[in-house]
Amino acid sequence: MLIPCPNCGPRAEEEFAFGGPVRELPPLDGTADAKAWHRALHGAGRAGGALPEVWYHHAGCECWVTLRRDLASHAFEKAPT
Amino acid sequence: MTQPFRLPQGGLIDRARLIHFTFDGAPMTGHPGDTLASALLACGQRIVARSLKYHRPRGFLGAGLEDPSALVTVDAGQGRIPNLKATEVQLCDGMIVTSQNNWPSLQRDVGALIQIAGRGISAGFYYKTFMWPRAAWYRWYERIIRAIAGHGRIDAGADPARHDKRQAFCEILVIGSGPTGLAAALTAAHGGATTIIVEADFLLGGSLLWDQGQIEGMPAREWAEDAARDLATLSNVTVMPRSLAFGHYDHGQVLVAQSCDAGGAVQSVLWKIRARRIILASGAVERPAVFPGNDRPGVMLASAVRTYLRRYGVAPGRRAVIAVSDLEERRRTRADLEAAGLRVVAELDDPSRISGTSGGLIRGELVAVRYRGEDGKRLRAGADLLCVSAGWTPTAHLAAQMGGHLTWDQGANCLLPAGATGPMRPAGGARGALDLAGCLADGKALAHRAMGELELHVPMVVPLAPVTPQKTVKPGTRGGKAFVDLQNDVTQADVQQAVREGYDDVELAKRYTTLGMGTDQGKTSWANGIVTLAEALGRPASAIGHTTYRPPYSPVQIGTLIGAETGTAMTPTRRTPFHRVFAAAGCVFQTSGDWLYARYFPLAGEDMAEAIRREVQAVRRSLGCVDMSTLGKFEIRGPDAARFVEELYCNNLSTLKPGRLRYGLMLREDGLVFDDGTICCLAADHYVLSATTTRRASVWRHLQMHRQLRCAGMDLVLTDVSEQWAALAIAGPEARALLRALAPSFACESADFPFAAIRGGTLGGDLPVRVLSVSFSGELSYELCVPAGYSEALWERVMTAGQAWDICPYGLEALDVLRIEKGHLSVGTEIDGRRTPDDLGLSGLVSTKKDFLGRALLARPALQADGRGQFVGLTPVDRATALPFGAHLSCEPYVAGAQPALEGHLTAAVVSPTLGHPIAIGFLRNGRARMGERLWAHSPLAGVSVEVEVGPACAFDPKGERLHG
Ligand SMILES: [Zn+2]
Repeated sequence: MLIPCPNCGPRAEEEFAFGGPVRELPPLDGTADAKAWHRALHGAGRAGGALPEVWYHHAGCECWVTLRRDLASHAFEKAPT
Repeated sequence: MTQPFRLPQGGLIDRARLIHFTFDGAPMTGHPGDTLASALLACGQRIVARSLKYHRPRGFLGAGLEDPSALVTVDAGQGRIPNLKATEVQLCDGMIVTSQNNWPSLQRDVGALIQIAGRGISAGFYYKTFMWPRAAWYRWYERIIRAIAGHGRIDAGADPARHDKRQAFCEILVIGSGPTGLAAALTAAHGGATTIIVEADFLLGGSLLWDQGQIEGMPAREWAEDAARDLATLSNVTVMPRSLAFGHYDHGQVLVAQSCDAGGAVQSVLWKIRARRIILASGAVERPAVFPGNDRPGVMLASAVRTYLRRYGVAPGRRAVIAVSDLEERRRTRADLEAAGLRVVAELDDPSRISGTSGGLIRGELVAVRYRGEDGKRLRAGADLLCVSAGWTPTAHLAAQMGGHLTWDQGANCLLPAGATGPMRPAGGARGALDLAGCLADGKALAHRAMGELELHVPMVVPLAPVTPQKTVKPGTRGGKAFVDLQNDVTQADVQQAVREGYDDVELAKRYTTLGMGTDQGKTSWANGIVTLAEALGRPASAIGHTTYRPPYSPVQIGTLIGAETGTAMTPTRRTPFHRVFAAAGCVFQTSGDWLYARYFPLAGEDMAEAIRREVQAVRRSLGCVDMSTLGKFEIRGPDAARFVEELYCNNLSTLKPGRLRYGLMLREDGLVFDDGTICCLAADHYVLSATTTRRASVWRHLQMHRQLRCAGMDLVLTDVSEQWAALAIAGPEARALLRALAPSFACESADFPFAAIRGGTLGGDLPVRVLSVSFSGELSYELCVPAGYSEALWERVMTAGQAWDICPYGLEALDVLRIEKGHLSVGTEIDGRRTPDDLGLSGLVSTKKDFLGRALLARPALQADGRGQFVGLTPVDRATALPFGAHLSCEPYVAGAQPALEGHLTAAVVSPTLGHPIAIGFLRNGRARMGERLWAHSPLAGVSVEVEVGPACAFDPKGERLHG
């Protein structure tokens, strides 16, 4: 794949580490229990269509970037033309 | 040897020069410009292989990479390479070529008896014949199958050739250099697009190299030469001959295998080309006809015959029968044969009129063709060449590889690709436009469209060429083997049988009959396969569908795919800052991840076990030193540094004061232990964390994720300083004496510099240093960290001052023995991604006063349940028998064949030089409550079962008194 890094432009997949779908994790203030964490970590719903995911650009800007990708076609929302 | 079948003139060959090679030991010759196939044919070698299942003699059906049968083994001075298509190999001097799949020889093959012996191997033969008894599979069947089936033998030696990988980018990539490809590349190039044109052949031109026709008032072949020259002069064009585009991947990536000149730096290059638009001008492959005996040497595709005649100046026979369905193709075939002086003895407008072929008694090559005349009369024509064609199949594999579905077109009588698959645009023959004018127009039009899409010039609406209609050719008749797939020996009857037995789906029929499998991937067979299936099922061909197309389109050598990444070049080799001085000290290194790490330091005449024992004893009795530079080291600075570190580790850190450090556990979000290391507090807003060598990259990524995605508002800076520091730990009862002798700028007596503290300053007044009082060996120990460039100065001072206590450098092996004696954890062995802090006996570290990553999910019932494996130590009851590595624990002695209930397993086992007997550590169900219990450690692999006693994980100095000196 060619991943459109918002900082570096389109770069080869080999430069990135995959971090899974974007997750809204509970705050670390002692309020959330195992159930809340379980839902946040494992229960990301798949509505179909593009899914927001995080990628770590280790061979580039060293940033975790959030990108939306269609899992059927691998098309990124701001896909390179 | 002479070349009896070489025509007196013509062909793109250099007749002035001879190339010598051997085939099955016989010396032969050819000319530059020849392929191995054309040279063999020129020398009269018409049989070159035996077929896969029936061991039938096979020659050349095609002239290019579509040929299914002519697989040979070639040694061109770079090792023996099996299964090359003779039609694809560029002839070079000194080639040693051997035929395959025959025993004892190509002419007299024992396996051929199989077909005489009876009904032979029909569809599903393997599934039906080799079924039971089960034991016979291993004893007999596998051996029989391996002996008679398969193609060439692999060369098990190391590949002497070198290979490389490169990347390229362009706006427009053109695959193929026939009329379509050349027209597309010229249009793109003249339009200013950065253009790459790849061609599998060593000459550009494709069908223009052999077909008749005029372009712009000149013969097609001359136009192709002009176009190739034109492209070569343009600075925005890269021309890549001998480059096979074999795989199409996401977002415009095409993988190309390029063969290089013999004697060059590398034999092949794997190119990863990214293009914004790809014009697939891969042309079309001629479709053979299905009739009894259609596999005999001498039966050839009409286009292949014309290629041999016109491109190579070779006559593939003397007397020819033409059986070509298309009128124009038939006319051209006759014209080419007659121009070359061959006799045409019969001409058929429909190959299905052929009822059979006759072969020579000894070799089986074609001697006559039997067919029905126009009045239905049975006729026979003596001929050694049969030119067949049942139309053309577009080569759309690369479009289909990315999921572009092909549809059977009733008018074109073949599978056609969609107009676009991602950035790929099939053009010309690849989308069914088969005539010369259509191909030229199509290449031009699609290049214009691509440039319009890329906004390289104004969008132009240019019409595409129409798809060429083709006649239906029915597959053959009964009587004799009529092959659909020559490479896999699949006959029409096999396909019909598969349908009868219920394997009527195209994917099922493929697997049951092996149609379209192997290296060939059905280039010449799938069209006839679909037609045969459709007929057997009584459905239209459009309802059959097709099987999945996968890379590679044509075989690629494994060496090409691997590139230069073999042996020690597989990963970069990392050397620690002490590498040079260690090497000078006689160190034996070992790889540890990317690192070359010190393993042990043998004295003269000492073996590894002796060296390890000596190194361990030196640390326990006096003084040793070990490299700690490979640990990850991460700095965190800023007002929120403490808060950030608190979130990452499960430990309570509120009591960690500046100048002190603590052993910390980092958990994953799911509550399991991720890594361990030290947390150094240099100041209230300045921390340094360490990470295990192998987890360095993943811990850094984890820190970055937490920082960037979850603590974006925090005021802190994260810096990876792993490579800035060289670290040497000095360990042993005399460690403090050595530190004192190194003249630190800070007080180092135990009251001033206790365990788990950090001091910064200099050694000897000039060597900047940060010293950590930490211990992995369990002895009094200091980790001396200096800026990496000072590593050798530090080493020199430590070794010089250490002489007074016989300082002993030690490596990874002694380090491991020392930590096992102490029951210290190692990432990857004990911290294996399945352990909670409590499993590791470290629940005391887990803070109950704060929140941290992993806290909530660590509370899950299964992670807190009774009966989990707990970290313990084990000692053989007899204090003598070595414990088998990786053994499993059970309550009963091992009985061969029995399945004892397992209670746990060992993670590490050594003979302790300190204690003088074997010890081990491992995990045992509820282990901490079972101290003193006797169990058995089994290793069925080692054939050993040892009675062991459970004890604490720490076998030596359990109170940790030695840490303080
Ligand atoms: Zn980036």
